[in-house]
Amino acid sequence: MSFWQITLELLGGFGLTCLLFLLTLILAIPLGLGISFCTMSSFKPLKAVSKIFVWLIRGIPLMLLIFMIYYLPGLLGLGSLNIFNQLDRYFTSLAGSSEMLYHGRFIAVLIAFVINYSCYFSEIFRGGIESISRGQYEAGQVLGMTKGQIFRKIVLKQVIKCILPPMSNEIITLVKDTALANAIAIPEIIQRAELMASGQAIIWPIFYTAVFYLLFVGGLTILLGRAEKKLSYFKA
Amino acid sequence: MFLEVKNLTKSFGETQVLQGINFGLEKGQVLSIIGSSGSGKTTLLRCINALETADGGEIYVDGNKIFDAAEQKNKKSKTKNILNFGFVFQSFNLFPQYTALENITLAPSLKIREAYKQKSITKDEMKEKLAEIENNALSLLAKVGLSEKKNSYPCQLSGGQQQRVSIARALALSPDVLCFDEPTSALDPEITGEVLKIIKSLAAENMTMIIVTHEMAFARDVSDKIIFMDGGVISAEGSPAELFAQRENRRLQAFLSSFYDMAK
Repeated sequence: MSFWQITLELLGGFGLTCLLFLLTLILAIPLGLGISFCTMSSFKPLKAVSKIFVWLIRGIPLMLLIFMIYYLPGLLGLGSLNIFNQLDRYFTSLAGSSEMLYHGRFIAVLIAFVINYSCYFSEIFRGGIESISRGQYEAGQVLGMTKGQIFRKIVLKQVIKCILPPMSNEIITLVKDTALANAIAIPEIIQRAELMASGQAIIWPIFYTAVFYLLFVGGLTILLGRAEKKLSYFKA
Repeated sequence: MFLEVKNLTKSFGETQVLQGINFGLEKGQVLSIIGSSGSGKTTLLRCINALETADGGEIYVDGNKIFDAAEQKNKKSKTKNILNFGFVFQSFNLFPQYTALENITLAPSLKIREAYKQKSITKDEMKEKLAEIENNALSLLAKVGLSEKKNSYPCQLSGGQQQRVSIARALALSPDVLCFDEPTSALDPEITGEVLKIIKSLAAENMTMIIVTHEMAFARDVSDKIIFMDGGVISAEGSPAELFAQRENRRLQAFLSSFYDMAK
């Protein structure tokens, strides 16, 4: 295999990484916001349940969570075959592909990622929202603003400024965590490099994968740094 | 009476912070509330402004009942309450992401935009009113002597300047009664004067005001009426001359002498 063939093959795997990354972000941010509101709720049962949920998810290794999501429907007796594998077969026959597709397994991984990251995000959001002083809410209140207006017009931007650094950290971790999709045989970039190592005895592509991650994280760092700079005009 | 507070009570857990407060204020008068920390003066001001919900009592403005603890479930009374009063905080509470000018225009322009969304005004009317709000805000900034700071963010302003912007922000909604909660307590002594000067000029324009303060000399100068609170009740009240002459009220004398001691 030439350098370009290997690059293209790895790039295909990295596409999966990017897709998993993007979908997780898009889904976990709103879900995390919802969970953070639950953990701050004055309705005690909801608060307790959501706090226990966050503790469970944050306490379970992401790789284990992926296995759990993957095997759980089968264990609960939902079909004798693994539901995600059945989806794989369904999509494979739908596309008439000769190779087994991995859409079903990808969904399992995505579910695990979204649950895991929404819990981490929810704690960051909670910290950010709770860091806003009561005076800001009260100032809005005495000016006759509604609760929604106070959140959207006053609190939100201050929260975003406050959570940007810890969110950047989590987002960068997410990029690298996508490699865990490997655990249920999704052909992401590292798995493809491993296959080259075992099948064709070429080791260097494994090291080469780091370049993809580094470039992607580098781009993200610049982007997030710009966002931080954009919000640096005020002090929260 | 323009403002009447009747039998206001408030407890936090076991502690009764307000034990039945009654007072009245005429339009254009300035009332100062003095008293040591924990005497309930800030809580009283917060109850009047609906930042706390009183457990009992009633509040009237211009003969209209704006608060009745007995009907507290009725949320309308709460919003009505807000529109009658302006509030200036001890710690300013300016919105950090907005300029001085935007801090002043934010709330009034949101109201206009809301009215437009609900189709009670046309787009042209909205634009006209937004321009009006901005002009009004600019003249308020001029009034507090900060015209040249209109595009500054709160973090670029000194404490005294921030407090002056927050006074302008409260005035932008043209409240019936403007309330101050220890407006100079978070300021360096040498800049309290610039804030007190603004409050004095408002008094000269017959703005109805309630001021919770530790500035005794200022309270004496600016007030038509002073209330001395002690342990959740009004221990003494009257014009500055009357109040400072009440030799027989030991708590008041002890409180006042602590200030003279400090001055020595």
